[in-house]
Amino acid sequence: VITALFVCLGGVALWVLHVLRSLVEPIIAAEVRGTFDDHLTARVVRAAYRLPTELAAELEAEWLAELGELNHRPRLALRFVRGLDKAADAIAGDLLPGSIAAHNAVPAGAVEEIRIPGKRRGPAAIQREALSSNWLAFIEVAPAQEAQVLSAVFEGESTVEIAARFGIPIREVHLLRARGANRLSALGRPPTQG
Amino acid sequence: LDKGSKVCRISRVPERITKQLVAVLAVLCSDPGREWYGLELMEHGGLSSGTLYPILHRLVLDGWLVRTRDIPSDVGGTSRRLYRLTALGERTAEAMLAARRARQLEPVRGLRPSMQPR
Repeated sequence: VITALFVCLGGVALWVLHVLRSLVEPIIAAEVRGTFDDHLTARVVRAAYRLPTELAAELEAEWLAELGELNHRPRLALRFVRGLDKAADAIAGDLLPGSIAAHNAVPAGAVEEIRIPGKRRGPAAIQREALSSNWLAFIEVAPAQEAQVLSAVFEGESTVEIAARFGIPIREVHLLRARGANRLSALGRPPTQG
Repeated sequence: LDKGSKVCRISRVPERITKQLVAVLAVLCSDPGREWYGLELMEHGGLSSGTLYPILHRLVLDGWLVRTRDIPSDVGGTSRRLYRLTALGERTAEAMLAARRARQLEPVRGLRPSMQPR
């Protein structure tokens, strides 16, 4: 009798466990799935946040849509999302060359600093406007060309035109990245700008 | 330099031809008229998203690739984007791949055999 009782109790316990499992398992699975999806979405949004504003919304929408296609492939989804930070950094870092490449043109009034070696501080650094929100382009002028270049600047020639005329390479600096390295101070641009 | 329009034209020279770039171009050239999703290019080219999207971005900027149309997705408010080689992209990519074949460089690592430049 006792053995039969134990067998019955064991059966009941197993049944209860089975019922509990069938109730709890989907809830836990859904919770885990939801958390995972939220995590992936958050990472996409965070990656897009690293992009320049003009691209962020567009690429975020594209990436979220692609992520949506990976609903049933969590490993690939994770791999996809993992790469996006790197992609965003690379695309953001490509902004200046990209803007040259994109339009095969640079607006003439866009390039913005002329730096004359030996006169890194004070009025010798002539600054107008940034090439974009993140990039400042500048040229370095040798002392021998200083007078000619300054005169061209005051006549309203753009830095691009001056660079082309005098054969001076255009250089650029990323404002946010340069801030820590104090390169902006060396360029005569207050670090608070940009 | 066109001073009148205040625009300086700078010709685009590819900075680096990487294996990853060649992998993307090989996939695109395997069916030049086809429109591809980014995810498809990623899978066929054996590339990560971190490598693929900067390449796509640059190819679009350079006029080698166009975003043809957006396909609304299940995720609210978003749409998948299709890419296709432009005529310029096709010509240049074919030339680049042909030059690479001529130099008999090693196969592109990670690329499916059917997608390898032949």
